[in-house]
Amino acid sequence: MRSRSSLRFALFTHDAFGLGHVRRSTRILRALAERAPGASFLLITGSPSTHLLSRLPEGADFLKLPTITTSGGKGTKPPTLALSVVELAALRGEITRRSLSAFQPDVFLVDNFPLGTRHELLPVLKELRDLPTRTALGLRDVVDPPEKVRKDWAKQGVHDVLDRLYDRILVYGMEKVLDAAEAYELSETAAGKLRYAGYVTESPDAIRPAAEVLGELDLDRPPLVGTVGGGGDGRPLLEAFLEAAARRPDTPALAITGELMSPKDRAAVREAAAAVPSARVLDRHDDLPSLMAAAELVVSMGGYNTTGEILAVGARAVVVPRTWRSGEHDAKGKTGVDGEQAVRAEGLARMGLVTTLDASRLSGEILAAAMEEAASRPQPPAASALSLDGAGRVAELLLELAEG
Amino acid sequence: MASEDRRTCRVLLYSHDGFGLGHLRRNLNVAGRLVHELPGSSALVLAGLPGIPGLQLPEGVDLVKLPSIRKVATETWEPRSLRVADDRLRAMRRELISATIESFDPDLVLIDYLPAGVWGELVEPLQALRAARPDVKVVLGLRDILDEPERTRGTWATAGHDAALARLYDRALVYGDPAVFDSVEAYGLGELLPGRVSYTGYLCAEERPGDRRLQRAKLGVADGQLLHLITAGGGADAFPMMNLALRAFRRRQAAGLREHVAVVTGPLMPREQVARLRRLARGLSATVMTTSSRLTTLMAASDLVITMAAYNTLTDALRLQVPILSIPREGPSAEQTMRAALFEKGKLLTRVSPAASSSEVAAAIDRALTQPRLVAPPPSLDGLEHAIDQLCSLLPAEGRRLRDSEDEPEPRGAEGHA
Repeated sequence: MRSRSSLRFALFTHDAFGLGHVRRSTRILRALAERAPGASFLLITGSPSTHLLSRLPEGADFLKLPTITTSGGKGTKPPTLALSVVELAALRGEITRRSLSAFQPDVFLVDNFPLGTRHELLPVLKELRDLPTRTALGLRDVVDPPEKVRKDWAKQGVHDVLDRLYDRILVYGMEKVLDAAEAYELSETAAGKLRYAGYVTESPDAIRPAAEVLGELDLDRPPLVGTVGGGGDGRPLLEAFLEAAARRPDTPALAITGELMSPKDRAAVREAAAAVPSARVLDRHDDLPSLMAAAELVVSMGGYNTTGEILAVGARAVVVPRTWRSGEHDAKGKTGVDGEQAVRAEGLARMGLVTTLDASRLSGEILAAAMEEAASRPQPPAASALSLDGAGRVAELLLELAEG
Repeated sequence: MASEDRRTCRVLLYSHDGFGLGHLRRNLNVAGRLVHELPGSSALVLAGLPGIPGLQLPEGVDLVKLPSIRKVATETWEPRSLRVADDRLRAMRRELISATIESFDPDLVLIDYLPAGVWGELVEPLQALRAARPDVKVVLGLRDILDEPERTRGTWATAGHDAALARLYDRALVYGDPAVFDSVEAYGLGELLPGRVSYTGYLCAEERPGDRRLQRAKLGVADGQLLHLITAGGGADAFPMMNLALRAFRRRQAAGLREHVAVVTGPLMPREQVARLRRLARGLSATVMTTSSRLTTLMAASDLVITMAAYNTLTDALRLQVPILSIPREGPSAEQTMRAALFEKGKLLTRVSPAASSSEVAAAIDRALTQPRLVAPPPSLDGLEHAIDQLCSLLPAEGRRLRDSEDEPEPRGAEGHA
């Protein structure tokens, strides 16, 4: 067995614009570096946000592939290069395959999409079968609503890839939230490769004392906090939140719009807040985990990172899955409730860790009732008590795979 | 899918990023302008710099980032951060370059600075490309001054750059002006590529400056007060120059001069050096920034630019007609010392040695401010225009036909929102 300090790890993270995936990967890398100092780490991504990779651990570098997905959000641009998607995918696959054959990683971890962004990883994974490299797939707690995943995976031949080309399947979540084997109808072979790691979030020891966080905001008691991530589609939830907050005039309320909320939506939220004396609107907060830890109650959407942070700090929370209305920003023609977020919220609610509600019927009144119910529950334990240190657990599982 | 006849060309660029931002900025400039001239084209830049805050890619241009290296001496590099042996890093870069060239299938390749690339890594991929695509054009782009001519010739001969240039290239472009420096003669380029080397003039950024008055007002500069700018690109090695210049301003302001200093350290300056400059600027009429998105406007609004002698900052200041005080970097190569001396000779700037005392620099600032504006015609600054013309003239008139995709897979939910 080789010593840990001579191990080489490669991570493949897909291209979505923004911080989520890149952050999850860097957290895993840092957790690995803590456990295997001296090892070597290569992050491969087509994300245009690579300048955000400033917190890579010692010994790490990254490769940037030609970007394939659109950048998302306002002013969406097509992929930069005037190549067809097939050509771009071939280019990305070739670069990845040959870089890896030279790097010769002990472990290759793929984030969330078993075949990469557009099937480019199939030749890569096939070639790695001839090398000593062990392969792992890291799935988000909920990849997508199970029926969609089953349909997509059947069409793309993913089950065969899981059976033959991956050695390990990690879930960045909990079996009780979603049983991946059952939900995605994994084969017995693939189900045998499954390991649950918990939520990969910022480590809870970075949480600052409540008094300090509240003091910065001139608050004399724990507030109700409404947060909607980037905020592109968060206006309906914040409006309902402010309506609900108005029923509790003695408790301060903070509505955080996020930096991607349109000026029009932001103005509407500010107007709604003007009618609620206890409420204040912030465009952003730099240390949301600490603020959530200091809050009396958090109202949020159901994205992976925010939900993971709620669990990490053990906040009382009402999690309302994102909804799209036609014509709305980022809706991309979709309407209704975001299935991935709904599955996550319902799973966590079943475990008694958060409260949720039917987002398609969201109103101030319904939210107020859910907030009342959440407030009457005992404080959920922080992640450390639930052994939810996902990044650490992922790192240990990968080391086990490398050394096994 | 409906087959649509789209004609376009593909350009691959290779940027040598041993140290600062200069090479990458020049390459992105050329790439962006080329795609602009040939709409529907794509330019892919192979580069090795780590993430750069605020770096904007021009429309139609994307980056492939190689494992990063650090130049430690002439023709000597080491991994910048990836913890692997040199050999493995070399293999990774070589494979990545070959894979990119083979899959991207460029019509034009523009290599920056080193004909054989770092560690000779371009030789095999370019050989293979020439064999597979005899019609492809391979061009070398060189800045005006590489190093002391004897030294460059020696290195090029022993490291295989001479051979690579002679065997693998169609053309070399010198981003300079023979009236300032005869690079072709100095580096023996004429013998390596007889009749196929040309000067383009200096490459300048194209950005137009914004409102100078507004910029000065933002910095709190009063009417009639002088504004001086200290800047040096990425700033990775700019600390000694900026430290010396700020100490000179400390003297001048202590002597009662009411002038404002703007310092842009650059995104690559180590944090503790930025902190030291901030401390040094305390009590002065000075503004210290790490980056500025409006550097062009800031420079145009300044009465004097104090910098080292790197290509991009000097040409920017010449283009904007702002007087320059140059404190050139002395090592590791003679590039900056040579450029500063040549530009001084052409009355393009005022020069002071990096070994000068702060009072000597304080006096040099006055000299630079009162130096008569150019008498001789300035060097040619329209290099970008000429470079693009030359590159376009190498491409077949037809352009290329984009292969249409018939079997594009169903788009998948790749744009997750975690």
